This record gives sequence, structure tokens and C-alpha cells, in this order.
Amino acid sequence: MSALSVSYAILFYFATAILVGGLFYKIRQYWRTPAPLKIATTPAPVTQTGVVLRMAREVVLFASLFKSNKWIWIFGWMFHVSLLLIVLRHFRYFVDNTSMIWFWVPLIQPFGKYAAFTMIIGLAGLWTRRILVDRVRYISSPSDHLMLALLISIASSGAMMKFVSHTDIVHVKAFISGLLTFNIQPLPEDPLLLIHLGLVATLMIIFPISKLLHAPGIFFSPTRNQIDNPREKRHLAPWAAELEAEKAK
Amino acid sequence: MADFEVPELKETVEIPKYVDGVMAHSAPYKAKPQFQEALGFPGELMENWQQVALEKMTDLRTRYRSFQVYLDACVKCGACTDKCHYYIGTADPKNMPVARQDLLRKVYRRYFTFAGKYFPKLVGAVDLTKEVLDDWYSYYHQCSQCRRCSVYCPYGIDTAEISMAAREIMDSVGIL
Repeated sequence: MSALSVSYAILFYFATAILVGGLFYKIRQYWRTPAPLKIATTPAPVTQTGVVLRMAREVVLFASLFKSNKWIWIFGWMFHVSLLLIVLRHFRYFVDNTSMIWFWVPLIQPFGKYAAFTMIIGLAGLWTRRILVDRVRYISSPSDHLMLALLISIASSGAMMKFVSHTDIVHVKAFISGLLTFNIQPLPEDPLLLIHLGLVATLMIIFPISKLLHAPGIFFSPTRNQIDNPREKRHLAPWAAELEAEKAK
Repeated sequence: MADFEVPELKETVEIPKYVDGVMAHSAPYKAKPQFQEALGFPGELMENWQQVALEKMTDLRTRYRSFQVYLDACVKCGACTDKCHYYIGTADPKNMPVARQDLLRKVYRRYFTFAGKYFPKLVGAVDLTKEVLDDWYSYYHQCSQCRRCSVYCPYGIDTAEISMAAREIMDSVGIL
């Protein structure tokens, strides 16, 4: 086994641990922190079903962003949908295609394949805005640019392997299956592949310590996930109830 | 009388190009120490105010989910930048909702996040200095907490939650 294969295996175990552990920590923190005030942005749903629909509209269609700015919406939505298709396409490296439940993995391949281009266009559009629009340039820090550079590099290196210089995907799958069964297999020493995997591991590591926390964050956003029923049902956080009990004494 | 550039009223709102610091001078009058003390707040800025402010920030982060989530979730997409009437009317970039939040977020990052502790320049994190506090006093009081920005934010980030927290932190260190 080459030192390279072993280092990449260790890198991916490390990155997965950080990603899963970090997200677990942040989600638990959001979960446990009480939301003492009813602050749903009106017009807000008055039922639980309504809240689920509102959240679905936000997460799937980016409804608020659509109201807000069409350019950001077009590029941002294009990027996220492409990312979803591409992630689904990559399931082929992780699952046993002969099993029935994965029947959709072969079907999604062509969509995921061409999503590479829409993903790059979306990211390029967002980056262009960040540079050209004075207000967005003002609020950008170096990390915001680097994040886009990282995502574009991941997308381009992946697209290069699909459309320019193929890598040995049979051995890639063997390597990943090996990771999943803790039985490390050799990784093809293709520079494009090594760049692609290295950058993906980087993305996994910075996920829980960066603005990528917007992904779990939106589900915990009180202005979007609350039922607007403050008059029908009294809303009282535990610490507010304690204060009230003390006062009543 | 100061020189005002009154925006011309047109059929659609024109978003002004930002002009740095035009509203930095604007801040409320501070309450007299005796009035502050009567309300249970410190009369003036204490010696260890940074520590007190950071402790207050942690206290609020653990009591208000909105505050904690909104400090983390912003991606600086720019959707809110032209939605605040304080920005449209003054063109001061710190009156853009995201920039107003960032006055506090950059301090949160510096003291409470991995990236801000070890790579402050990279993520735009800064120490809590008197200049930062003065910015807070000026710009967190130039927010009417109308929550228009939260309507447009893709994550529903509500600047009012941030500016309320900032005002509470300022109360606790004696600049009321």
C-alpha cells in the first residue's frame, strides 16, 4: 500500500469525523438553545403544516431570496440544485448498484454529469456579483472569496475528470468501498483525482466552522420555523418561566 | 446645519453607491450615570468592560436561539444590502443590515469561533476595542428594528434580534 493511499484514507477519516462531530455539536447547540420570543416574520403560517410548507418553500425554492434579488436567486439556486444532482450522482461510488433501493443512481447519472456546468456557471455568477456590486464587495471578507474558489476548484477538477481526462473510477470505487469497510485499498495516483479529493476533504473540514452552517441553521431560524399563534397559545421559554415563577413568589 | 444630500424622489427607488462613514457621527445622547444606576445599570464604562461584554454575549447566545443561529448562518449573499431604509436614505455602508450585524458578528467570531481565533484576518474577525464599541453605539441605534431585512433574508436573519442583543450588551457595560 502506498503512503499516498494511506494518507488520503486518514485524511478522509479525519474529515468525516470533523464534519459529523462538528455538525452534531452545532445542531445540538441550536436545538438546546431556547427561542423565548415569537418572532415569525409575517405573513406567517398559523399551523404546523403551514410551517412545514413554508420551510420547504425556503429550502427547496429559496422563496425569500427570490423576493429579494433575482440575480442572487438565479445563480444561488442554480448552484445548489446542481450540487444536489452532483452529490446524488456520486452515490455510485458509495453504494451497491445491484441493490433495488439504489435503482435511481444510474438514472441520475446524465443529470449529475451536466450539472457540473450549471454549478460552475452559478458559482461564477455569484463571484462576479461579489466583485462587481459595490455593496456586496464591501461585506465580503477573504474567506468569502476563498469559499467560492474552493467550490469552483472542486467542480472544475471533477468536470475535468469527466470531460477531459478520465480517471480510473473502478479503482476509485474500490478505494471508497475500502474506506467504508475499514480495509484500505490503493488509490489511483491521478493528479486531478488527488486535487479533487483533497479539496473535498478540505470542504468537509471547514463545513462546521464556517458560514456553511447556513445549511443546518435555516431549520432553526425562529423567523421561519415558528407557528404564528402567540395569542392562541402562550409561548414561554424555560428561563422565562423561571423568572416568572420567581416574581410570583 | 450639516450638508445633506437629499435623494431625489423617483418612480423607483435608486440604490445609492455606498459612502463610507457618513453617519458615523450620529448617536443618541448617553443617559446620565444617576439615571442609569437607578435602572440597575452601571453608570459609566467600567474598567473590565470587554470581559463583561463578552460574558453578556455568551449569556445571550445561550438564552436566545435566534442570536446564536443568526451569528453563524449569514453567508454574505448581499440580498439584504439594499433593503434597509437607513441605508437607502444615508448610503452609509454600515447601515446595510448585514454590515450592521457584522459589527457584532466580527467580535463573536474573534472570541468564540475557531476561524476567528486562529485566522482573524481571513474571516474579518476583530478584537473588541473602544472603536468597535463606539461603532456599536452609533449604528445599533440607527436601526428601528422594523425587521424588513428578515423578510428578504434567505435564512430569515433578523437584524432586530442582533441589534437588541447589542443594545443589551451595551447596557451591561454602562453605555446606555
